[in-house]
Amino acid sequence: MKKVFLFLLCLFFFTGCSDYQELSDINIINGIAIGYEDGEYVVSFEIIKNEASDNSSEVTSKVISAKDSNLALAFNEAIKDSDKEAYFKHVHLLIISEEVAKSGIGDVVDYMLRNVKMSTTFYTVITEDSEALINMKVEDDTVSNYIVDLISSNLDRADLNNIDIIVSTILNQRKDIGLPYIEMEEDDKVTLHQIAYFHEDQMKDVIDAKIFNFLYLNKTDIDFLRDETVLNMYKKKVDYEVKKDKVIIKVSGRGSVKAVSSSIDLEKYKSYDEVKEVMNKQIKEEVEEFLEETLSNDSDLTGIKDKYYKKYREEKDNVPYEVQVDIVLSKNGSIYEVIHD
Amino acid sequence: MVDKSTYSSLILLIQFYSLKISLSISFLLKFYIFYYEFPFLGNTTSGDYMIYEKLKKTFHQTSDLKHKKIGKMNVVYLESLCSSDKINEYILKNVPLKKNYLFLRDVISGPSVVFLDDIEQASFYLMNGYALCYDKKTMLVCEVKADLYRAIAPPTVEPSINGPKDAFNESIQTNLGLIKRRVRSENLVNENFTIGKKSQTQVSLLYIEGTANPTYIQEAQKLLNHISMDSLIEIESLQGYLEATNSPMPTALKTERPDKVSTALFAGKVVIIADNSPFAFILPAYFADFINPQGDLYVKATNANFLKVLRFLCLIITIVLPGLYISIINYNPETIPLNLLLSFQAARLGVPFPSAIEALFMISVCSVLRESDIRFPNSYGSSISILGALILGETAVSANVVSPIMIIIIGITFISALVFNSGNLIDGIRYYRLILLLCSTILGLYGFLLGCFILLLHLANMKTLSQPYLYPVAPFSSKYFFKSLLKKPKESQKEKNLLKQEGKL
Repeated sequence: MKKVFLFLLCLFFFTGCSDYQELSDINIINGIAIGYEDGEYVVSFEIIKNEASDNSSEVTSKVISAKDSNLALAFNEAIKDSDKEAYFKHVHLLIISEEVAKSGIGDVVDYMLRNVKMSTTFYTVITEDSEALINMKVEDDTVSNYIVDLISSNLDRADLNNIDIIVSTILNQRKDIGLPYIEMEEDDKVTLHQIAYFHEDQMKDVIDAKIFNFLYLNKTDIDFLRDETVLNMYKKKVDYEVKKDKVIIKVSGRGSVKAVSSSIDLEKYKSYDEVKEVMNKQIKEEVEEFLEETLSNDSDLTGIKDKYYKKYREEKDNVPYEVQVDIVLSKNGSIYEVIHD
Repeated sequence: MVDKSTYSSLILLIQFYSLKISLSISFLLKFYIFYYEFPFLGNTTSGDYMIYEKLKKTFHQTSDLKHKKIGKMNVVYLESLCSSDKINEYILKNVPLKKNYLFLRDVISGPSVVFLDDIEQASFYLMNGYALCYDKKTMLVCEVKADLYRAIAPPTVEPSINGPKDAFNESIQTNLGLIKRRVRSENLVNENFTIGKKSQTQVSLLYIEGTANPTYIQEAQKLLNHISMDSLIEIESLQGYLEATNSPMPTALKTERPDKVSTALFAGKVVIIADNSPFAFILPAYFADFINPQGDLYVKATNANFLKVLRFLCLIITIVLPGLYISIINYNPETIPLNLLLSFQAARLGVPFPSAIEALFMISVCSVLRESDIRFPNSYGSSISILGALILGETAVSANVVSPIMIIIIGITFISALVFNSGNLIDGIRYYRLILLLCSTILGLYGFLLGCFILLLHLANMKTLSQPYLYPVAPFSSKYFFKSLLKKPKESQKEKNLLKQEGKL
């Protein structure tokens, strides 16, 4: 009994308590922006202002910023400016400026990963001016929440918000990562049409998000346009067949005709084959264009090199690839049939 | 040849002697009966008046000791315990009709008459509602007990929508009757014990011979035989003797429902009832028995199981919620979704006390409210509730003494505890709740889990009548599990189909 008592006493004295914090004594940080200015890191925190008000649905925020030559010191300076203890476990968004991204995000993700007080699940986005983005005015919401909602509705992949996955992809020599690129327009509007693609930890360039969504993410509701004909993909599957001489990227799935050019008469069954052929060609071209552009910048977003290495244990700088597209068009339930009947 | 005169004289002689013999026999018989039946005469040589004097001395300053002398018979009784109607019916009404009675027993017509050997025995019977009747030769007691008990009323502590609506009252005989109405078996044994040196309270141990586990019977007998107390006013005083551990959790199931007692008897358990107590104790009582009420027996299995699961959830909520809340908001707020966390934070703004103190304060206030609700007369009860609701709902929040979210947490905690009708269980849970709150305050989630682990160990270590307290979970018994924690449908579909095939359904 004495031993048990002593054991419990030790537990009570040597653990706990240090992490104790009252909710009213913390500043919940929702988003972090990291940029460069005059050769120094600029770190900004978006703190949620939680004031008891009649309108409980309204969430507002304030931004505090600090500068230093070192990222960790800049963080510390910003933490010092916070009137309450900075609480990072609810960080939902990390905004990295294009300048920082191009010089390498290794330091940033390293700091985020080492900081035990930091959340591990947040979206990372790249933008031209991180300070401008985090200080943007958003009605009834915080900037971070607004951008997170934008990403969630446009990029359908949960692991994009996991810092561990980002780090592991950066560390993987044969696979690269693409991060959402937020563009700011006039009158505080933001858009997400592009992806910043990386080689290792350095940003290379931006590319249209459509094929990235199509190949890399689980997004299915994608439209392809050719000669006034619009094909909507609602079901897709991307398989990689790794052969010794090349990697075959097999894109298959189902789609429906959303709009059709006047020259095609869908009353004829042959017309479907014609549309199918045209659209398969269109998708193949777009995918090949995407791969060509990213691979030419040493960025392998689809991980072709990694797949090849896993099968043949052989590292190649350029792995030949071939794109095969086989989309089946759904005839049933089309608008035409309803009218025809 | 014998002449006629000799013959007649012989006849007369025979008649004379036969009469003499018959008189002698009759005398001897009377003498035998007289001394055989009334051996106490030796103590009453100074006359019947001495008996009353002796009783008066014994019951000194007892104003309700009444003495009536009707002819040669005396009647002594305690007016407060006896029914005047019964005294008239069983004793007084018969005396004028039989002035020249030979035996006192012919006069007394009560259903329960006991002849006494010694005047010392009279006190016990007088205290138990008997009237003492005596003359110069005989002393007996006749039961003329007044009905000082309530009528059989519906259960108040364990009400149920379904099932029987009768509950025990303070009469042990009535309670026995209620049980025997349900257990119509000659194997139902009720062993009587007298507990309390001064109160001399009758306690009965009930079990069905052949059904009850002999170990339970022996242990219960041993427990009852070893009880030493001055007075037993209520059966709850026995609880300390029946429960082997010092744990706050109850290990003897207290009930006021005869149907619950009967079910327990049929399940092979033993039951203890006591005079002057409207409750019975069922032994052994496992933890699972306290969670589920008797009413589940009268509900369809599917519905009963839903309620059983809900009740189990309530049990967990009422024990862990304050501790879990404190550990999460003070140590691991990242586990709460942001919007909810913001609500919690907004609610706590302006409250000067730490959350743990806030929780302790609220638990104390709620406990005081509950206690006052129980103790106060009903007429005050509503005003106390209004006062409590005002203090908790409005004033405390507007004065920033507690946060609204803490009121919700403690409110849910206490409402979940109200699902159970065992007061002993609710009291036991209170300790567990506080221990978990303390562990969580000091060590966060780690402390919370440590506390849960210690409490589970404690429960697993407990015994009820030498049986594991966590039975039928540990050790697992499917048979009792589906009798207590879950309810098995009476007939499975497979069995029904079989019966259909056989044409029995």
